[in-house]
Amino acid sequence: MSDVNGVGIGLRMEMAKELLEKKPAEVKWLEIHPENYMNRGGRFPTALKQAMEKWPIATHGLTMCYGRAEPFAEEYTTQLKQLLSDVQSPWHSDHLCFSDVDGVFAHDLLPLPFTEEAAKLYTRRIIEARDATGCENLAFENVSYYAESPDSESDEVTFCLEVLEAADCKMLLDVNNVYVNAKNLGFDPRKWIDQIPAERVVQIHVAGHLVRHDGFRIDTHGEDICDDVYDLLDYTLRRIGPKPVLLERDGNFIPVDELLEQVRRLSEIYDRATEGAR
Amino acid sequence: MIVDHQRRFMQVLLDAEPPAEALEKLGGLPERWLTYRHMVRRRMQGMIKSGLPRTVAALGDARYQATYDAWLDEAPPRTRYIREIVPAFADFAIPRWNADKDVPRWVIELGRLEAAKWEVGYVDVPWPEEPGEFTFEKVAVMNPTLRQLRFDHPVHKDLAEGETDYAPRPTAVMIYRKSEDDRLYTWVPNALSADLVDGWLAGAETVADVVKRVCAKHDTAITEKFIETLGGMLADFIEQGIVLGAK
Repeated sequence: MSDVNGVGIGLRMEMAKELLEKKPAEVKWLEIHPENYMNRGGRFPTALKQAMEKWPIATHGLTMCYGRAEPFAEEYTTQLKQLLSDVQSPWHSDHLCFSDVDGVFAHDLLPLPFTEEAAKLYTRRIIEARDATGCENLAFENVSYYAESPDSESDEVTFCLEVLEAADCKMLLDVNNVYVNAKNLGFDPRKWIDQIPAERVVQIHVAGHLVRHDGFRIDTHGEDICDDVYDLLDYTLRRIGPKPVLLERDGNFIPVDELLEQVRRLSEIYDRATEGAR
Repeated sequence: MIVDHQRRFMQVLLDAEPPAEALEKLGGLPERWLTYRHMVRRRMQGMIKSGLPRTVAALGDARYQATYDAWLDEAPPRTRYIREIVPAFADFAIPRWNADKDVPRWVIELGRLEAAKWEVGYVDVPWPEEPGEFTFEKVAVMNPTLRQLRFDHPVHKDLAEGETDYAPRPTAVMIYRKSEDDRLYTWVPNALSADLVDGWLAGAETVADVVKRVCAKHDTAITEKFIETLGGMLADFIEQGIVLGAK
């Protein structure tokens, strides 16, 4: 069984100093983005070393994105493999989308249409990444998406299930992304989550999102979690059991003590929802 | 084809103007694809403004924005590490500003300084495990993060209140990171010291040979007093982790 359990937060440099000084017991594990530590000297790798003395680490990539048209660069996957080994991450996740083409990086998570061709591409890349990194528990995260392509041949959850089966991989279930998509596109988030096989899920993400003046929602990770997302997390945990929950906060940083209030609320939900299943 | 979708999407994000044809072929609601354009451009803009805050402020909104838009259009980021877009942007922008007579020279120097400081903050270099004891008879082992830049203006200092321009003054600035605390440090040497540092950084001559050559260039006699001053400077450099030893 993995040491990554309960509620964790992301190791972000904007709050690393305070976090590493306080070492709050409420935080059970940390998530890192490998891109922030690979090919890098200075305070980032130093902070990671200090964090590893206290917490288990799980890795979550930002730029591998399984929808890449070309195979992954060997230099990148070799370095990633080393990092996963160094931090002993029990799984590695990245996103079901693309972020670069023809060598140009957008530094964002860009959706592909839900087509058979896309499913095959994702499947091929997930298998390729698993082979290259040696990570058996490779997972994809469902993303927030703001534009629907008329080329799509299925809905998102059907598409995710297809890739899960074809690639025989794991899933990082982002509850906030399901909620944001549900509100923007008009579907029932609980029905979406009902279809996800619990045994595939290795981790859950929750975060805050921005509600624009026109009501459209953007997954910013810079707001507090809304009550609906707390409720949806409770529902998800009751359905899929005790999976580690990560609070994402990547902008509009708040003092660690304020973040810990949200961690405590998440922990209460986690404990209540998974009681008897742990 | 998926790759066609990806290329159209990228054009909408990065081209100076989102191409109508690409938007049409992506289908659905154009404003939704344009939401991504706004997000992508804002994220990278935020990173560049974090790395080059004084340069961006000194350029002014209109000139900075024109450079930023041109960069995305003509030389979009080819790195997966978002931190590296700051020096990538500076590499694109500085020749452009050099060719623009309306951009003050000191603003370009400031851009070079901020980009170098940003890069030294994260550069991944091996630290010598056994740098060797310092001696004048060997080649200096320098801090591997150390960079020395030369300017015609003292842009490492903030402009005094009420001033809008720097008076010219040749200035060298050393930028480095210490291994023990990972913080960024700067040091402003005088002209002779800066030449010594350049010589030691080149790593081709012994410490003493660099001293002799640089002193000759500066018409400086190597007197007892000079050696005493040099010794003090070297002691400071060693204490500050600028000089690590000699081999």
